[in-house]
Amino acid sequence: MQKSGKVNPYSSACKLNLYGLGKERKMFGLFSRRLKERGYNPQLAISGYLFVIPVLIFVIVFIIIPVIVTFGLSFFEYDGIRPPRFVGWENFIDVLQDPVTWQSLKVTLYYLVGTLPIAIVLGFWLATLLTDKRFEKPRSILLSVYFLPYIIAYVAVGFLWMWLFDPLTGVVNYLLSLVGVNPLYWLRDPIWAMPTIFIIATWKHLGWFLVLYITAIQSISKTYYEAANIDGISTKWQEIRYVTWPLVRPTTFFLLTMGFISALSVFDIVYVTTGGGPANATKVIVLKIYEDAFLQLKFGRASAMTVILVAVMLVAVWYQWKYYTSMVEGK
Amino acid sequence: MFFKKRSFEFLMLVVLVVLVSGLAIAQEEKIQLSVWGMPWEDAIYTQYAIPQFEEQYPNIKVEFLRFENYWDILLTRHAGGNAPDVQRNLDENYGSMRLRGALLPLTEYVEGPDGMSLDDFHPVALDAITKDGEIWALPQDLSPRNGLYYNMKMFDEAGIPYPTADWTVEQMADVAQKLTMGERPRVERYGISWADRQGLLWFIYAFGGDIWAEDGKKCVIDSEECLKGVNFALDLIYEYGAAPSYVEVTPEAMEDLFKAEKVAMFIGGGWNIPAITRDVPDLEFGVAPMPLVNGERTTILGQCIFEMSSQTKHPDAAWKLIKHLVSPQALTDYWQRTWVAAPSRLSLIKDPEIFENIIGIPGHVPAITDPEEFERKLGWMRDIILNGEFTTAHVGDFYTELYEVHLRDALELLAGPRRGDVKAILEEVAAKTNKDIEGFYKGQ
Repeated sequence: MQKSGKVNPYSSACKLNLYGLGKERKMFGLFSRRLKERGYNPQLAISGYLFVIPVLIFVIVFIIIPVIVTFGLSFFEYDGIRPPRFVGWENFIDVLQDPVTWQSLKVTLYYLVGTLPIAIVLGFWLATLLTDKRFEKPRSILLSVYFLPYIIAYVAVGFLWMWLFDPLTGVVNYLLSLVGVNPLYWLRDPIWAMPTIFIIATWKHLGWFLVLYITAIQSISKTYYEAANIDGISTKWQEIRYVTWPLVRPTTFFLLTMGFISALSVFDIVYVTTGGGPANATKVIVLKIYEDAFLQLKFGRASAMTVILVAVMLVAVWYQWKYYTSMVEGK
Repeated sequence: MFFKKRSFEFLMLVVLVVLVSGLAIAQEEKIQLSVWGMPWEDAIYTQYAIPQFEEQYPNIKVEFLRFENYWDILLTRHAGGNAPDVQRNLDENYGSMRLRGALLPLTEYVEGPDGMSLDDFHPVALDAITKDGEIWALPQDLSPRNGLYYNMKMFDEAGIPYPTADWTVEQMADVAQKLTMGERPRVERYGISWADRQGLLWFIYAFGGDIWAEDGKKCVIDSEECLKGVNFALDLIYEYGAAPSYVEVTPEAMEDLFKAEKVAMFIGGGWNIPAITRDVPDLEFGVAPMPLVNGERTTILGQCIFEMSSQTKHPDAAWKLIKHLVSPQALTDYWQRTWVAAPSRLSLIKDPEIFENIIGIPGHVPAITDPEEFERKLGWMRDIILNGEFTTAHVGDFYTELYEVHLRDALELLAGPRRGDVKAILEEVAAKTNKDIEGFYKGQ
């Protein structure tokens, strides 16, 4: 671009008037040469950078800086008002020695186990049904119905289900009473609260699992099924077992990974429906972090817990990835 | 030459105007006032208090802020060095802010040349916001946390006279049992319910307990007197079978239970009265003072207060605003329009022309025009305040830790599907709160 000495008037650099500047022009020339040496088209590369800058600023301000601050804060005692005081590893030791932390971790894993496998199995099963020829006509309507809860705000979902599950005035207990079943305390009972949240969370998230599975199933070429039929596969179950399920594995892996991260960081649905109660039965780890920070004003401790949670997530996702790649490679 | 001279004069005039307006802008102070509450309550500030203030002080402009998640945002703004100059708060919450240096004491301003007399405020109420010889805020209201709401139709049908000021707690329990219909788990109607931990605190203080000792530096919610009160509350649930347990109804739904006529009596705060009157206009109800325990009456009293941030750059202007917000005019508007809590000035409560004139906010808060209805719903509030039958002893620097975290976590253990071991549970609550208190002072 610059070899002929002519300036391309439409280039990004020209629009920014970089050519009209002395020092800057030299710098730009150097930058441009380096890009060329690496085999890039400088004009395209610079345009690319310019497009990326707004998002990059957003990521730096709202993700990278908060992550760094959180990590740093975990070594301080800080209440949001007084200046932070360095305490070394004290917050981490305090968090790991607190039985409520372990209880919260247990509750979070309980939520994970109670929601993710059900959503995967139900999502896949419904997707195989809805991609069947018999459901071709009502598919879009049914899909909208299933997906609708996913776009409803958590607060609305929470209040809706709290009303349905209210022990004294709720519709669910009323219906149960019609068939002679004694009222259950649902979200208010330490034993029933978490399973009730499983129901609410699965209802809310199922649409997302379903849409991704349907897309994955629809993208499988028919030739696979034809080849399988020639190889002796004759029933629908065998088709699902030997063709569909293995071929949607990347989607399953994606859903498992995202579902795992989202389950470990669950907050909204629990905050709205039970607030962590009854008797800490649904106090998930992020709710504990929130309480430590905003109710007890222990931001350092809350940050330490966040760092530990992120570490757990990274390790778990890494293992998931290792497992997935080893399966793909047939090891 | 003429034009030149005129141009010069014109130029000088422009310069003068710019200088004067620049000076005026420089002299104008901007301060922020933050509140929480329902959106329609904004009118109290935006249509009355702030315009009146700005008319009185033309050089001070007030930016009005109402936050959702009020305390989270207040804290975040403190952390960002951007705390509102004047903050509405609850007396129960101000201690944690004061301890951390987020507030400026007001004593110097109260006693200064632009000060004001505090004689019109109740000394017990002021006591809750006075610490280390300093007054840290001024009260907007006196808000009784417990009144005994009763459904008149249910009492009439059962042929039971309405609760009166000379009721005892045993009478209350007895009537609650009589008005209960059905047995757990199939109860059609409960005799009594209470909201959240506020109700539980009433039982504690009514039976002679106190949750704090050693000037608020120790939690003693596990003391014998406290256990006595909590045990009486649990008796109402499990022995009398007259009240729902904490697993049967959420604290938020307690008011709804009364509105839906699923409960005959309800221990609620003063702020529930306008809400119930508005939402269920046909519901005939009254509110009586809480019953006597061992011949004495007590009511938990909270206050909305106005405090000044230690980050304010305009303390004089902020003081002027606080002083205005607790002026007779501002408090009269607050009471007559929202009537959620009695005004903090005793002279306003004593004046029937002010106190009994309930205007409301059209479309949001109903008015009261019938003196009988006023007396039935709000007379108790005036009586307990003027008779001094209330306490603010529950206000402590570590109230949030106790009330919002440890006691809340223990409620369903205390009064869940089964009656909990009260002593063991409250000992654990006290131990956890005391650990937080020790941790705070250790870190200082």
